[in-house]
Amino acid sequence: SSGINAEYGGRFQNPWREVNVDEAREKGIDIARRVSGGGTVYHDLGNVNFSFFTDKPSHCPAKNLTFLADTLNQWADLGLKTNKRHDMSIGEAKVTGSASRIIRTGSFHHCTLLVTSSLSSLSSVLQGDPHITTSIATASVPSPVTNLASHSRDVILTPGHVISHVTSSYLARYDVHFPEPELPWKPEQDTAGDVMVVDALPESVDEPDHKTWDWVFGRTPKFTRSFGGGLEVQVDKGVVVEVSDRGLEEVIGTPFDQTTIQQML
Amino acid sequence: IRQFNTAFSATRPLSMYYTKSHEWVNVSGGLGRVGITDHAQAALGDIVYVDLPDLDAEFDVGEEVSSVESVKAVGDVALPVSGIVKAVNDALSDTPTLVNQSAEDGGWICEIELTDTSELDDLMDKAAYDAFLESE
Repeated sequence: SSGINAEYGGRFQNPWREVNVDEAREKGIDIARRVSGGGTVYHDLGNVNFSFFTDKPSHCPAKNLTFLADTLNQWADLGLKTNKRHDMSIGEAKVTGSASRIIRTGSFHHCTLLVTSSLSSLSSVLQGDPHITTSIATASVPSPVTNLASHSRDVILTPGHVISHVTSSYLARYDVHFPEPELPWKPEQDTAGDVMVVDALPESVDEPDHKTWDWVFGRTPKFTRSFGGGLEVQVDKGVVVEVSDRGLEEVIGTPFDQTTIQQML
Repeated sequence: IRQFNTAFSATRPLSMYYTKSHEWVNVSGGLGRVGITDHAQAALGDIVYVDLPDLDAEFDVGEEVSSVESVKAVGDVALPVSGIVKAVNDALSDTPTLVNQSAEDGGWICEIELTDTSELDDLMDKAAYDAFLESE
């Protein structure tokens, strides 16, 4: 895998239904599952992700998106609008996808922002398996998308510029300040108003479990995949649990792979 | 279709205990039925998915026993008291909105066998929980 391009699905989604898994594998596009909810998004270096961490009472995705829209509109006159579904759009096309997670100690809202993404790669890999007939997983809501950069007339927009500009705007609006540069990053330091610039996460917050098959595919809610002529397999936690035809019995208990099953028919 | 444990009666409000993180456990003998409160479902909004625990899984008090996704966010359900999962509400697979419609009754999430009933002393009864909500 490239480690750069990824398709990133929601906590309870079905990656086979959302993504062309075979194509992703061929193109070295990682498939990942978030801890937050929502739909599937495509990440490449032309996309910028923002995460807003707050205590629970302060959790407000609408406020974060309004902040982003105002900042970007004032800078590059983009005509961005937000809506109740926590989308940010230019006309009918979305430029962000949002998701949130709330736990006992706090919450976060994060969103993507398409700046200079490869939209052709995006649309091609986000074509899921149309033969999944029954699924209780949460489904993405398909939507036309667009890059910010193609709507800016006077200002050159790159992910780097967007990051700098949004960061400066955030610091100014919320009156935050930098500590001395020689302070190392420490998870215990939680002084309100201080900002740390982090180049890499400490190992203690890395999530190796989230790179496993068990997390990415094994957390998939139950579904049924049809192979035509009444042939079906039922999959639970990414593993085939039932088949409609005795000729397919040998795949019971194995990780679901539609190519393998197709070849058996 | 699972037969739900008939020792349960949701019409015994005196056996309802509540946590500050808006979960409830309805206790009958050594068994408890668990869910999120009406306050919690209202805050979450329309629920689109409930992640049910495995049968016979054992959890400590405060551990995440379930996860709930609403249109707004994914939130955790912490077990109010330690226990072993004996039943799950399969109806929530097809109809997750049952939690919105009836959070403290038909929208229950799982049933557990309590492993330490003394933990109930740390929970609130309905009057205390209502007072807690007022103060938040």
